[in-house]
Amino acid sequence: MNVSSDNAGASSEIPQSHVLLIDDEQDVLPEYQEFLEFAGFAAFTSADPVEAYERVLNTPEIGVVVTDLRMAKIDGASLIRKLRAALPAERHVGFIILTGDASTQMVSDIADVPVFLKPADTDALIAAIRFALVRP
Amino acid sequence: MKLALKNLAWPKMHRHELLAAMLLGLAGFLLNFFELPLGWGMQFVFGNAIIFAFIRVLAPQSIVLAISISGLWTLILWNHPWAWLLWVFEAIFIAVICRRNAPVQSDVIFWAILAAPMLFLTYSDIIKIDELSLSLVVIKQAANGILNVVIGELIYAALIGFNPMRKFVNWPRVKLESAVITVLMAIILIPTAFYLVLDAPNSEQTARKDVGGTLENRLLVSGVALNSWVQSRSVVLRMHAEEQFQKGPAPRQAFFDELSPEFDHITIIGNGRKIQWSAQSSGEKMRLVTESSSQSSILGRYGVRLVTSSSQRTRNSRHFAIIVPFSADGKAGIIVAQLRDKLLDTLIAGRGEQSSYGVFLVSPLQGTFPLTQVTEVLGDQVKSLSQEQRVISLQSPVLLPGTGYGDPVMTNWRNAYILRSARVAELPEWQIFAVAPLAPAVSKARMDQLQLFTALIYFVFLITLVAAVLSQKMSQAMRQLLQSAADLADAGMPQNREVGQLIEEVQDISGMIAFAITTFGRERGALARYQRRLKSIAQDAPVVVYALDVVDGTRGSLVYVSESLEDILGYSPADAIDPGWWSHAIHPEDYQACAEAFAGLEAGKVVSVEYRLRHKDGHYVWIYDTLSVEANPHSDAIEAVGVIIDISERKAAAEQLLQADKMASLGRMISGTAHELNQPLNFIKMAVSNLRENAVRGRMDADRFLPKLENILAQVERASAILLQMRIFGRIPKESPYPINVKATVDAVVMMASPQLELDGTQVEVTDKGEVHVRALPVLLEQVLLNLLLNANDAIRARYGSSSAAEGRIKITVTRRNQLAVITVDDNGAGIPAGVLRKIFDPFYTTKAPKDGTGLGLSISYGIVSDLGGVIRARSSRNGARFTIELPLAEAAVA
Repeated sequence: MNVSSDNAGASSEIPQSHVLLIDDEQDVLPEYQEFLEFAGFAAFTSADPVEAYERVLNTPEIGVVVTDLRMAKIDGASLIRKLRAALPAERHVGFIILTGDASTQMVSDIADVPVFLKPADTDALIAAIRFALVRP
Repeated sequence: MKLALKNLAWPKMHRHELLAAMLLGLAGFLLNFFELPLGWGMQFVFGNAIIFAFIRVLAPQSIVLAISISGLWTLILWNHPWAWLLWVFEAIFIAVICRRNAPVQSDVIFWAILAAPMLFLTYSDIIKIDELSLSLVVIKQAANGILNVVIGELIYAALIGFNPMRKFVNWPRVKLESAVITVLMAIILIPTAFYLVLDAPNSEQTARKDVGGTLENRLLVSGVALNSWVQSRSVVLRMHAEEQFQKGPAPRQAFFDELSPEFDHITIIGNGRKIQWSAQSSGEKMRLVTESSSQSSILGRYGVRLVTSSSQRTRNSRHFAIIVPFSADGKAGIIVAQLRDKLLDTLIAGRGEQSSYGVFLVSPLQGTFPLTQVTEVLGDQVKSLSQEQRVISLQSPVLLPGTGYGDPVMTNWRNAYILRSARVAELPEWQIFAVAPLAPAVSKARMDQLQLFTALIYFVFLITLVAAVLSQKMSQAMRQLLQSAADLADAGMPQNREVGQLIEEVQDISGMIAFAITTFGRERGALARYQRRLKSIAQDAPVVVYALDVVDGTRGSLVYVSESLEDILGYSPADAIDPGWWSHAIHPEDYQACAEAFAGLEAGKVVSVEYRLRHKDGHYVWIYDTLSVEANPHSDAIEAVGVIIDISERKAAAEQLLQADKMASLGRMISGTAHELNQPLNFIKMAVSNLRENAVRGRMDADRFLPKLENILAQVERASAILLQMRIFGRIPKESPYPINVKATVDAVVMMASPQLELDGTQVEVTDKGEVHVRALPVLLEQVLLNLLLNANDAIRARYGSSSAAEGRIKITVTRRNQLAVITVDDNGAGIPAGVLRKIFDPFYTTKAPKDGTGLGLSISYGIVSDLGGVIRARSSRNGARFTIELPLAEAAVA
């Protein structure tokens, strides 16, 4: 759990301002963390979708979930569906898919989620996260 | 009755057929003039043969018309209409009534049951000829008639054999039965006819000579009898006359009594032409008369002779006197004694016991006098003999044909005579003719001929019978055969085809065989033409034909190369025949393989190799070389004939096909590969982006930068490694196969496919039992394994889908069994339906959507494994599919 100290105060006033990024490739997570923090987000990262699922349910500050699609145990699409089913109605969590798989047929049944292909367009990704955070 | 007449009505014929029939009849009529004489007024005529030849071609009424025209000739020759009528009946019988039978057989039946009785009736009752001649004439007519039909059949057979005629007329085939009977008849009839014709003049001549010889002897006897009579009487007369002159004038009555039976009148003229005395018979007795007569002109200087004694010396006198000169008192005297009538007849013609002979005394001046009883006709014939014939008759027999107008020739020969003549010294100016009838000789000759013809006719009947029985037996056998064949075939045989029809067909076939010999001649001509064409093919075809000697079991120098070598390789045949050309032209990489393939050449061996030969321009040409080794039957040498075909296009096409399949495989792996490549790229992008941000914020410390840069380098390495796995897609196989480690190849392929397999969640397990090597090109074996692996992955996805892919398993094993390397690829995918399993190795057969598969993968894999000398098999069960590849083991390369 890496929470930026700079934004610690703001999180209590503005709930659901944190970003959780899930990718089962461990090596790249520090870079994502650094990238999101440079963009001014309070970010968590996780390589384990099961652990990430629990964390989203237990951490009310998480407002946006960025997830990979192809992962062991649970794939990204299933994770999104499960979370939407499990989250209480008053919580609004935005979802973004960041995938290396060019074939996007897997996300056809969750069409309302924006999809970014790796290597991601960094500015667009940040804009999408911001949009998701302010939307509720 | 009306119907029958209608059938024979002429107007039914076409005009040109009518014309043909009339021309044929005319030809037969003219041909009849070339008769072959059999002796004694009999002859064979062949005009009808040419008409019978067309019995299958022309309408029945045309045949009858033609025969009736041809038969007019008999009216001229034989002076009666019966033969003509018979011929017409014969034509009607063969052409109309028995049209379905063999013509020869029909004719034999006709002569046996119709013609012979009719001939006996007409010839014996109406023409009235003797019994022997009648039998002969009937039997001869029958033989002649049958012979004509046989010759007609032979002419027809010859016409069928003459091909160009087929265009104009439909020529039905000769049936087996007809052919057999015709040939048998021809064998007995034609030689017999020739024998009779050749023998006829001889036998006729012999008969004439026999009769002539008898007559000659008779004439000799007559001559001697006359001579001895004249001699004896002249001695008696001279003796008495001389006695008279010496002893006294009056002869005794006893003297006259002795001479009176023979003489009518005796006068002795003495010296000075004075009648000494004269005696004349009145009734039986001869008395001395005294009155003188005027015989003054008779001279004594010719010696004893017989002269016509008539007071007027007129013509047509047959009174003879014997004139005997004698000497009286040293002076010449003469005795003239007139012979009694008929005395000379008896002397010359003998005692009249053989009445069949005729004797004539003939003098050009006095006329012809028969000395025996003869018929008026014969008398007239002898009288009308020409002077020339009279002279000839002195040397050889002359025939007096008993020809009378209006009689058949056959009959006349019975009345013919043979004439022979002689001169007698005592009868100057006179000729003695002896005639004898030819009838006995003719009868004898006819009897011989009758025996011959009878035997012949017996044979003819026998052959007809044998041929009939034979053909019936054959028909029965064929019927049984066909019946059993029909029983076997049962439903296969159409019901309306009767057995009889089939027999006819079989007989037609035998007819064809009979004339196959004619076809054979034509075939030989055709063969020569084919040989010429074959030669031109060797010259012009896009293949190189060559021949060489085999030396020590390997290729020796070329002895022949076709011109087409220049089209394929640029070298002329002269270049190629140079020893060593071939081994220098082989591509160095193919040299070893060629040397091995063309080693140990022996008779009966056929070697086929694909290799590259250098073109004269320098580039290499893929060729297919087939060599067939044979032992020369005339020497111990081993020779080989070979064909070279340019296969560079096929090779290029095969390479293109392989490349196409590789591209297809690449397409099938692209999503996995792309995903795999995106991971390092994504990392690099993130890291670089962060570095940039750090730099912007002035946080440029090395501790922060270096680990990131190391990580970036590691990720670039990872991306390169993925791309390196794809090397198979860039390579084009050009080198020769060499021993490779199968396990290593399998691992490389699994590595290559792993991005896709991982993407789809398929697990791969590779097991091996020791190192296994095969001789192959890695790139080709990799392509085969990649196809199998990707197919297995597809089958798994087809069964489980992509999401719950963890169940997908692919198991690859590498083992050795006997002398084979065995690679199996098992999957737990959807399996292959039985209907599909049969076709999976067919080109362009695919169960996938067009964008997912070309349908070439397994077909190409099959080709690659076959080229390596191995086999590839597929098996399917509920639990998935198994592909097995078996390849010959190779020893590991030392390197």
